[in-house]
Amino acid sequence: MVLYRQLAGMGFQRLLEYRWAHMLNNIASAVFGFVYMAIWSAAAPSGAAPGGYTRELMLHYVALAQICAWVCLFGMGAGLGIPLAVRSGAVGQEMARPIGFFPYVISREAGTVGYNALYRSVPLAVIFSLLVGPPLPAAPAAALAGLGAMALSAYLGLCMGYLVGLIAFWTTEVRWAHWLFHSVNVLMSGGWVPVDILPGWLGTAAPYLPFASLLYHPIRLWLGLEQAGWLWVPAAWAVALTLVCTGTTRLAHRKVVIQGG
Amino acid sequence: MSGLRSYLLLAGASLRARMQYKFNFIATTLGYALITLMDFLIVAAILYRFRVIAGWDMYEVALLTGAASASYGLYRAIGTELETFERYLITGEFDSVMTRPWPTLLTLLTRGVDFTRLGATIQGYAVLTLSAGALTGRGELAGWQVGYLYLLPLTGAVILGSLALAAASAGFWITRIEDLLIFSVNAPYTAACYPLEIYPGWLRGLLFGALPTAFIAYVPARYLLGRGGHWAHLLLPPAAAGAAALAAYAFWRRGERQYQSAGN
Repeated sequence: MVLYRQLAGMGFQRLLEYRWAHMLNNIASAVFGFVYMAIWSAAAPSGAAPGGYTRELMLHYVALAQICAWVCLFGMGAGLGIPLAVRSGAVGQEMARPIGFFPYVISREAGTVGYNALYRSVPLAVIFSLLVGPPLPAAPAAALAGLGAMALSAYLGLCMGYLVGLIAFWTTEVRWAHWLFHSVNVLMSGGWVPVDILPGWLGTAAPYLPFASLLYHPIRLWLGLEQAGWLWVPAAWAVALTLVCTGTTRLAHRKVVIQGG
Repeated sequence: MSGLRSYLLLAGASLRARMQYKFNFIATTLGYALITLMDFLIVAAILYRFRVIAGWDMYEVALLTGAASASYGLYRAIGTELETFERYLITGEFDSVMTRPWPTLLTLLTRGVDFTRLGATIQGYAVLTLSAGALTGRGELAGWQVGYLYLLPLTGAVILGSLALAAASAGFWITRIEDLLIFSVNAPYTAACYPLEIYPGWLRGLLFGALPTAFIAYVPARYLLGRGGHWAHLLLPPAAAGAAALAAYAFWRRGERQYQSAGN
């Protein structure tokens, strides 16, 4: 456990060097949030609205999406840095360590998530609180459920990034998978549009997919738009993706080729 | 002319190099098309539910997102080295750019042409075509107006490229520009995908002034769709693109003189 904590700490320290540059990025993130707030302000009605998504609610929804996206979607390199290690051959050393490759990468990147939470999400929360008021939870129970879902969402984001990274063992280049993953998340994570308003069967199925556990469920739980019972969706996906990640790692072990010579 | 020939030669070499990995090339191109398509699908989902945004319906907004996506793809294909310019400053690699017998900007741009980014351009033109077809069917657009709209991504790419060039030039003083690029190119590009009436005055001011992405599509589309403006507004996109390019290049030249290599 100490080792994993140290790995996370190293990931955190590595990014501290760039914290002032990241502050500028936070302003850009705030502008993105502002653009989507403007869209929702222009589109959503003020009173009763389909799905309960009123103008006022959507301002907080968009703000929370921008805040939470930094712990589950943004700020992690394509494939959690695995493709670079595969290309340079460093992956051979990393896989030979006395700890599993999956927990090694996840612990290292957990430091990035912690850094992003502190230096990206918190400043954004301050900016959005000044702009549209603090996005307070609906009730203490909603806050607990929302925080639990956000912790699971951070883990799910790491697992998905890890799976993208593992593709490098087969194709070396993973940019296409990274963009495919990012594209699907733009629509299906619920960060830009609550997924239940998507048309037809897509809107019915999307809340049960793993992508919706990244932003849609945490935000809705925090805002009290759904009951804590919905936590089973991100929890089930956390178990499922852990199994997929460990299984795929085993396959990757057999596939590893050390570059150079 | 020799500069252009050299550029085309090196761009061809870049394409051949990327085509060595055909699967990656095609999959990455599709990936970039998909990411910009998602930008449109988000607004389509909102409009599916709420019908209009500031009085603009889905096809009208699609004109803006289509032209903006096509512009962005073109700019990213040609200006991909501007996006990674920070690396040149940190490693001192810009030294080798300065020693070539061509203008530094031309040398820099020839270092990499990312054809996979044209996926966004193809997607943008597809959305533009669908939307223009629907609006022509409703009698809101004439044939020549559709032809004009197809040309907009050319000036749009120059506007976005100029913003990126200005951000890259700032790197001569501040070195780290990755985040500045997101602020000065990606954010205004996203804003340009929607009708500008929805933004508050200060943001509209920015998009008409220092970050002039209003001229990528919004200004001419507003006139073509009969939402106000003057026919002369159709001339503003090339004028804005020219002015932005000149200003950004002047800033680049000034920054170049400021350049100090890496190390101590």
